[in-house]
Amino acid sequence: MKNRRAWIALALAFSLIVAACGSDDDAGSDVEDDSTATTAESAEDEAMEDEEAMEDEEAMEDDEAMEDDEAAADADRSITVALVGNDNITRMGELAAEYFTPETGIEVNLTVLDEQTLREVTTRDVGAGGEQFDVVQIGMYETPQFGANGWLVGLNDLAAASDTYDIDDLIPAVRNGLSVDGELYSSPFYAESSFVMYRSDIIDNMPEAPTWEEVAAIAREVDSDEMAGICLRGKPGWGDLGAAFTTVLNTFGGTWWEANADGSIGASQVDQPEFAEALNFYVDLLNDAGEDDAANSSFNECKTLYEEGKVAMWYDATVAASLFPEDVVENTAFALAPTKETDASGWLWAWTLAIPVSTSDQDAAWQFIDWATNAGYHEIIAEEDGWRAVPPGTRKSLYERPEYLEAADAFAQRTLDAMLAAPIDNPGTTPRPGLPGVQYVGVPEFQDVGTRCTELFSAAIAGSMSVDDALADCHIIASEVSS
Amino acid sequence: MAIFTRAPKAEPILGQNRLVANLLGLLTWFIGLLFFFPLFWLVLNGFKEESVANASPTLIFDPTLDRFREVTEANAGLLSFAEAFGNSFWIVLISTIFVMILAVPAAYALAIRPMRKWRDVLFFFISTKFLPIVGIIMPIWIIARDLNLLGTRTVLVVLYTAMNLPLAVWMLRSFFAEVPKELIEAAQIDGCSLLGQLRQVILPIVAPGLAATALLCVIFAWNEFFFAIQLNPTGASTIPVWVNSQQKFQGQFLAGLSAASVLATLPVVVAGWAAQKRMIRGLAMGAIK
Repeated sequence: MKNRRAWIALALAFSLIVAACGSDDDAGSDVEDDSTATTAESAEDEAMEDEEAMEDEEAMEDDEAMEDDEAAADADRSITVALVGNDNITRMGELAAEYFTPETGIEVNLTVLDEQTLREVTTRDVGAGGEQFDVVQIGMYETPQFGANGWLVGLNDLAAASDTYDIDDLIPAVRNGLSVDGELYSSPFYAESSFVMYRSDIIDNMPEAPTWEEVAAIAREVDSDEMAGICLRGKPGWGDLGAAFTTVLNTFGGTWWEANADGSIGASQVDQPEFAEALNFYVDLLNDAGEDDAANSSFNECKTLYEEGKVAMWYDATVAASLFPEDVVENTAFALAPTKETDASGWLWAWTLAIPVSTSDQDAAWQFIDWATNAGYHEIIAEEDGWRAVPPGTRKSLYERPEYLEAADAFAQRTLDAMLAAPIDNPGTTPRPGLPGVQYVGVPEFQDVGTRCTELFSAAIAGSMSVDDALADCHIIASEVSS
Repeated sequence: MAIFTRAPKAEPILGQNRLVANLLGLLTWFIGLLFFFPLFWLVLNGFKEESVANASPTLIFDPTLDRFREVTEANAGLLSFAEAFGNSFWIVLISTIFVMILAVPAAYALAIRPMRKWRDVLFFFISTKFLPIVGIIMPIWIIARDLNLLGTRTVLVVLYTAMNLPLAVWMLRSFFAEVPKELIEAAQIDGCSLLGQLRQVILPIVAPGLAATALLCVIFAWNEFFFAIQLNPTGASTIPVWVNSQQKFQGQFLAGLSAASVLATLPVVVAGWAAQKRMIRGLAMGAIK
């Protein structure tokens, strides 16, 4: 009995200490607020007092809050930024507190979410005016769609008025992928293409610009019990298996849908021989020389296997090179994304920062984006963490810096080559909807179709379903959205 | 004349046979370990280096507390463990207090002084749990948006109260129904008021039931993720959202995520452990005996 009481006391004491540390100045007052806030009116009052959750605009609507705000003046300016969990992005958040906030007086609150949740939450917040975020991190897939829907603030004028943001310094393919009718709707934080990374101490016959046949032959040749020949994404998801496979599909001459005359989604092309050939090639290669448990592998799993020396080759995002430990980079060589029918096949992706039109402080939001994505940020991160840690792929000037070229000697030029070669406006051999876009079809329907179909393809990789059945079912799914 | 006859030997029931009993024991241990294994693996991973946790599974490694240190480190602007813990603590505490304040009179009315159509009322309470949450999230989100409650703790207090109330009413009703009517009548004869009956007669008897109900409400509210991530993903959010934020889409995170999960489950495990006797007594009290 005594023992149990001691445990309870210990648990309560621990809880109270942590709660006291964590609640800062507002959690304590929140108790009183919360206990009375059962009606809409009182709840609204409570929200006004809740510093972290409050939008500036809401406070301005309330006279009392306005008086408080005047007293606090600019010192209380804050923005809320939704981000996806990733080392170089969360590092940017840390540096914002160190550099951006003292310089501008704008406090930056970061909300880190996993990729899927970020898409869900920001799509709804941006689309339905949730006003929770002043800056959202979105990808190259969402930017043109959100921009065309009028959900994002156009950045051309803001960039032109800035002394620090050089819009013409952006790598053209990246800028193009983030623009609608020439208007830039989000600013790239880092961008990537895809290429082949391979063990130079094991493979000595890899061409600089290989074909898929050559890559497959080498993978089968070096495959052994200890080391798989190649690591490819097999995990379901339009951004996982969907991205890697679609680049193969493009260069094999296939596509997901044909384009109607007006550019809308036409008939499904999943039943075409090129599609079947691409999927059979992908599945056979993984079966013959792929990593173990390929159906559950994506970027993170392949990166681990490659670093542990369990695969000889890996086809994936160029950003991987900047995340390798030094000893791994030393034994790695790079080749362009493999091709078949097209001249280039590498994908193009960027994680970017955008301002929803519902933001209450557009000026502060832009100041933050300007700071985080201009060339000056590269200097900051280089000073803090070294040039190799600079987020790659967005600005031409980075690839002109001798310090960067020296630090990232092994992969800088290959990354730039891959970015420049990415066939963003014409990734295949036939007309298709949803351009620009390489490893995805830039239409809202693709998220669902891509995810459902890659679940089937992943089952084919795992061997629990035949490729023919997967293709037949996927054709039905893809045909549902054809017009 | 033999008045007492020897009772016929009873057939041994399952479990009395030594072999069957041993096999059953073994099976129980096996199932128990099977259920425990993911938790064991989670705890183990929390003490590993990222590269070790992501490599082939191994039981031999150099344990380190670095992952716990890393995930609990406060980074400016990011939801920290301490903030999330504080938010969860207050949201869970206040919502559970609200639930108990509302559920006790409701359960009393349903069990001890049933009004007309009390069965319909009881069914109404539980029917609110039938609708899948995902089906009503959009209307709730719009209401929260219009009331400026998105991103606040208040919205979670209100929703967790509503979420746990039907369960609490049902549980408490069954505990209240166990209270002998004679005791209440005796108190009435002695001139005890309604509040007095509740405070001095009924509540002491159902105390284990109250504790069990409150603890279940605490556990459900502490673990709730869907409402929290949908309506309050920003800085004022809770422990499950903080755990979710430990994932990285490029880079290793398994050991860090495991350490975060261990920290998130710890308060519930400690609370459950401390209250286990009372809770089992409470749960058994309302069960069919």
